[in-house]
Amino acid sequence: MKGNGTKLAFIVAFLALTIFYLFPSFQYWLEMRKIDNMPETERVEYMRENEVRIENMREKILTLGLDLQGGMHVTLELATNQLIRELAGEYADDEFNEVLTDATQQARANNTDVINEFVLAFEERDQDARLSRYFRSDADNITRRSSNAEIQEWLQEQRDAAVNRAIEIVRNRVDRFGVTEPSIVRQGNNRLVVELPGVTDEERVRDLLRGTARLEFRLTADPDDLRHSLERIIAWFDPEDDEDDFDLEDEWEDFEQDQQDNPLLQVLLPQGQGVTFGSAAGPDTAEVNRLINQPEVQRLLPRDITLMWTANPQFDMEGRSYYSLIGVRRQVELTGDVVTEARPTFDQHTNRPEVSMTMNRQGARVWARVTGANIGRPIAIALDGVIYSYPVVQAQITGGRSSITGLAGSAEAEDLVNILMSGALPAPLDIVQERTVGPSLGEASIRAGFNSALFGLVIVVLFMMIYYRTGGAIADIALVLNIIFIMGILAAFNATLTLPGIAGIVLTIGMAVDANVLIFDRIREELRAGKSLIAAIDSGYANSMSAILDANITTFLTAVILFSFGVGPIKGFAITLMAGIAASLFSAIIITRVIVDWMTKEKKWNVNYG
Amino acid sequence: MRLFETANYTIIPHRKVGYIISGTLIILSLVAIFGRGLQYGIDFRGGIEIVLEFQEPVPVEDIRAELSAPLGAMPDIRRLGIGRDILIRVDTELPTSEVQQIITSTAASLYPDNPSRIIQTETVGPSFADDLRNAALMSIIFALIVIFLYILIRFKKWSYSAGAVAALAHDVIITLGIFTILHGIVPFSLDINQVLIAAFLTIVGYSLNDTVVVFDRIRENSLIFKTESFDKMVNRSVNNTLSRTVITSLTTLFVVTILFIFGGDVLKGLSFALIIGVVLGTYSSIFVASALLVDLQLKTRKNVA
Repeated sequence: MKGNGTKLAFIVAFLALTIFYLFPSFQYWLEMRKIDNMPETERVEYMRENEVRIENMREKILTLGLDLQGGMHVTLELATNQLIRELAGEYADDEFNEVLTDATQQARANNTDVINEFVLAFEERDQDARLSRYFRSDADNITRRSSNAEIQEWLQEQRDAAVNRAIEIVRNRVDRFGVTEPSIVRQGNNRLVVELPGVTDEERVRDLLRGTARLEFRLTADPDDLRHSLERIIAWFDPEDDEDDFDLEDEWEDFEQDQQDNPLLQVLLPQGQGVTFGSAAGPDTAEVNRLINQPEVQRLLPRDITLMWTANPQFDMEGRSYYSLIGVRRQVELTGDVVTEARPTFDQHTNRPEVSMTMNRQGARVWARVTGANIGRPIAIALDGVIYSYPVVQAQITGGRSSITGLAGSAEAEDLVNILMSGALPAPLDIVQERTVGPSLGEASIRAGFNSALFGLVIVVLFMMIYYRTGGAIADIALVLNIIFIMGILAAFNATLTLPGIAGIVLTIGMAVDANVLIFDRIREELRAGKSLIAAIDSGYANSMSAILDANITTFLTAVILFSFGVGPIKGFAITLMAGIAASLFSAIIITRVIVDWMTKEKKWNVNYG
Repeated sequence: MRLFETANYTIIPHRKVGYIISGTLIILSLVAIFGRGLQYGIDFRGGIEIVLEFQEPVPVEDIRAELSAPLGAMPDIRRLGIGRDILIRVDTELPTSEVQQIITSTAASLYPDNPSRIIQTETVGPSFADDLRNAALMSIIFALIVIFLYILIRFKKWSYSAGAVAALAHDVIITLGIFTILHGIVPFSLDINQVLIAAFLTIVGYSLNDTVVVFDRIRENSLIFKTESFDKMVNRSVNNTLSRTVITSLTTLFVVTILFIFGGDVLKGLSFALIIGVVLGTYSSIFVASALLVDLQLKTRKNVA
């Protein structure tokens, strides 16, 4: 039995490794069963006592993908154009903004990098254009003399840093949110993939991930100016050009008529009272934005005024939700940088949730000046471009205290504190893809996948035994070991088992016997040619080797390609295929050979190949 | 039990029949693909897709009519399985949460006695969908190039590479064609999505497996039967490996059929593609890869002579 000693050692080592890697998963499964069978009170107690131990165990087990255990998968993209604008800061002029807008559109249309498009667009416009007009950084030695190439490189570095910072901040927020085993990884040069197992509260997570935490305190518009603008804007939209102005009070009786003709009034209910411009139902806000954001309309607003939506809706008698459009100053008086501490509290009088904030000394000084100068007027508190509240200043506020009210619930208050305290994102993150799977769907998928695998295994095992007799039975042993090996490899590489991954395992069951089929057919041929059993087995294994290797290497190559191009569940499929090929080669060639040699050479048994 | 043990069929001399069948299928598939267009799934075309689970089966027409007004677009609605699960797909600028809310409230008011809940939501932005589609296309092209090169290195003749890659392209095009034709007709999703790209690359891997085994035998036989004409020798090799080809196809077909029947709705498209792929891959390794190899070899030899 020359050479089989090494093979045997390999098999034992491989089996031991597999058991070593699979043992924690098995242990965890037992633990979970134990916990499931406990009565409720005992379970809570037990979970608390063993939290650390279970947590450690969980790190070593074969993890299930989101499609199997339920949860949220979100791909976020850093808004590079906003980052560029942010980096330019006060140097940005009209030309800069124009080029940046063009470059953003160009990049979107051609699927290219915004930074490259931006530099290209500038140079196309004017060959001698120097980007150094717009960017300065003492720390990175970006000066007036920096070349465009240097600035391009610097922008890319800045983006890189911004994405890494965004990952840190998102991780911080997710951790505070309390998700077990979140995964946050970078993808490409401006995306991050966030996986949150078990999370189904989609809206909260969206806000949590996207929030740039740009907290702003702004003064509000003068009510009379705002009202006058509103009337002129409504008139501008009026199809009958017979009147220059639209008087809200006079024409209230004709309102229904006007509403039919006027595209703006179809979606916006004008207010013109105080600082409220108008209100609209949730689904209509996008249309209102489109109408209002036309340059001709924007010109009708007071120069220093912009409109912002309220964050949380109000409800009318029929329970429909309405958002209000508030007129605020373009200038920001104070930003969230000055906030040193934020915590969720409740209003003393109304008992509604709110977030109370403390500012640093510089912020407190500005805040005192702003509130002192605007007593009796509302100040808007906006976060990420929407207004949470616009309380009327009752008295000058010294000591740098402030609070955000108008929140939907205490969960929102907690999330806001989380966002405020984990730091501001360098640029907004857009959700470009998201998938949420409910836990019940995952459970059904696991059951279906498991049943298919079991059923497939039984059929293939029976078939092999009927067709190849003893040889088939040996191949079946190899097949079962093969599946255990695949699991072991997946656990060892910390791979995630996804639904397509289970499909990959089922497929492997069917294809794994291929190597044995090749060998056994070859042995039958050699036997037919008149060789002795032992000689036929020798040459059968030897002669089929090149076909087996070529066939498996090419399949393995396609799996590697699948792995490098695919995302999420597809990667899982590719990994199981690779593991399956490696494991099936090992078991089909080496394990069956050792068993067959032992039977024929040691025991002198007759092995029947059917 | 033994099948095809002493197989000695005249297959390669009749390869024209295979060309006609394959040619017809490819033309039909291309007509379908360019006529109807590839039916992309959510990840390749962008939009919002929501799976709503009811307690009792419901007709989709009512929901479609009821949803189109609030969503501002005609949603694409399909039944999954027996009709308890409804897949709603819509292209809209509305935020996902808004769409979810519209759908749940519409379903609740339409069927007050038949409670429903959202069990899956997927949102894909348009530019992200473009990226995914490009990556998928690249992966298939890249796979074919790598395979061409590997076979060229192992078998040292480009006619082997060309035969193998032609067979793979044949399998992928016809599978795509079948998916495009049957889309919307069968009661499960045949969307071309990322999972399906995985299936395609698996089909490529499987079909290649078959082809390489036959090619390997051809290479071996060409050293043994030096005087035999090339087409006869290929025919002999195909017959030699026929038993193995059939057995492996059968075991694989068993498991993918089981997966198709018992694997649940999510894997129906994937396993359906694999069933088609196993059948096509087995066929194409003989009637496309080996047949083309013969013609290409005969042609180059003539040119040399």
